[in-house]
Amino acid sequence: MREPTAAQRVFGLMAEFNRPERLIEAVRRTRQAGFERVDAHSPFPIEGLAEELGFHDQRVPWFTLLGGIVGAGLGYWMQVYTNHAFPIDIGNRPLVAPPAFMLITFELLVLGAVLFSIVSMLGFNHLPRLNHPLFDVDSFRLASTDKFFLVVLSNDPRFDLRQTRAFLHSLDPVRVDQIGQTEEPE
Amino acid sequence: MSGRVNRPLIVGVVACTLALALVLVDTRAALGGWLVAAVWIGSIPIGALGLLMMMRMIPGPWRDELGPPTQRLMFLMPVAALAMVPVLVGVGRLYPWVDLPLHGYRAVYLSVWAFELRTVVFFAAAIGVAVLLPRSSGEALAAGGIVALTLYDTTVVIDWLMTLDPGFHSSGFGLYGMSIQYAIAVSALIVIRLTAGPAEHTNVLGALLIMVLLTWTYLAFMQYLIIWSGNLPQGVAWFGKRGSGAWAVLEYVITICALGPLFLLFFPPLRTGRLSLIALSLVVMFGKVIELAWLVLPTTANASTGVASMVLAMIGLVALMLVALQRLPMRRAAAS
Repeated sequence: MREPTAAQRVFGLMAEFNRPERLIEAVRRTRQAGFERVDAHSPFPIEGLAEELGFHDQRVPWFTLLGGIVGAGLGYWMQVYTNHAFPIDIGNRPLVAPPAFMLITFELLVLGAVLFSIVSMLGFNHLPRLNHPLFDVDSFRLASTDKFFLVVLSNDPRFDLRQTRAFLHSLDPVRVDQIGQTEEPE
Repeated sequence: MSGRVNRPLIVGVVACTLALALVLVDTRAALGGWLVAAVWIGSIPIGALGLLMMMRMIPGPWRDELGPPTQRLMFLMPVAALAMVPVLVGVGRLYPWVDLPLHGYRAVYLSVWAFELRTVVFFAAAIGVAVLLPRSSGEALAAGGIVALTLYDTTVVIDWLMTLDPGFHSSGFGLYGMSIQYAIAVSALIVIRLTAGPAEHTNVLGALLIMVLLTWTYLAFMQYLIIWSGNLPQGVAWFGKRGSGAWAVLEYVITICALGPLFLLFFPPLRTGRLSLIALSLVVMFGKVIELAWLVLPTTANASTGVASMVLAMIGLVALMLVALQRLPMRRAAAS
């Protein structure tokens, strides 16, 4: 999901909740109200939250598949290459011996898949990143312990500072915070 | 039930009778074909028993989804035991080690009565555990049972399938055979569960199928790789016999029927779809019939009689299995 650029003065509005069920309920109602650029933060994975947020991003699984194919191809090619570069006769077996090559091919398949999935996950999340506008809210550190947060980004087509704040208050949160930008516009 | 003709029962009895009648044409080949069907049918309750004991110890959605059908499959254990009776009666005609001059421990272990005793005790113990398990509380029986089942099951799988080639030896064969059994059992459970109605955790069932297929792939390939690396006569002869002529085609069918569904299961819509999962499970089950035929029938000379006997026995035993599944739980429900 694309975050608001520094050109927008307000990053978004954040509501804080005490319990995971409340967060899921709040996400559902926010989505029903027509908001699309909604994000949630919780100390642990909550079952069903991704579905409520409408999270359908399949890019990391596809990159994992691609990494597996690239890794397996490289692994196999490497063995074909080395066996032709340094031909050694072992019990008169063929130089290119697929059964023996399978182990290394499989190992590099796993390595490729894992590396592609980790790197693509970090890339799509814009990580590593030194700071984030949400860190300006003091209580947000509790997202790592026992609080649950709902964020409506300011680049949502329905976002209106006053009305959206009123809407978030109607969800009965612990508090609602306005989040500013931390960077100057370029 | 009175007054109504039970078609599956008639089909089952007729097909089984015809399969056994082929003994008059070629005893060894007909018994080989029967062995394929008997091991396939037996895999369903034997694998289900292992899964049932694991479910006792490992909670989760798979237990909620598969617990009741797995319990129901225990009714098939006597059917599986009965299906092995023709093999036990014909041990002397089916297994070539009967005619070999064996000495010492090998002569005792590979004798007709010892073979029959191991199989009979195995099924008696399996039926005993299947009866006791629902009545026991706690995990002690399940924990001890899963260890005993694994040890004993690998033993009888070696008896039934590996001793068809008395010179062949592979230390991984027992686990490889067991991975075939569990693949059949898990596929059958998925088909039974999903034909009964939509499941809440279909993706868990798909993941379970991936797991048994990966286990099979690992064990089947490792056995091949180790024999290929060793390059010793007995192992090479075993694979050579199964890699020539029409059997080589079956090797591709076996591989495609396992790796094809495995690859397709990587895609969430297929893994979580009810119909796609049923279809992929049926492909796996079909592949395992071919695999058991590929293991057994190259050792019997007359392949066409063997195939005919196998097809008839498969039809007959599957029909009898469906009869047992439909009738037995109903009768128990009516009695209680």
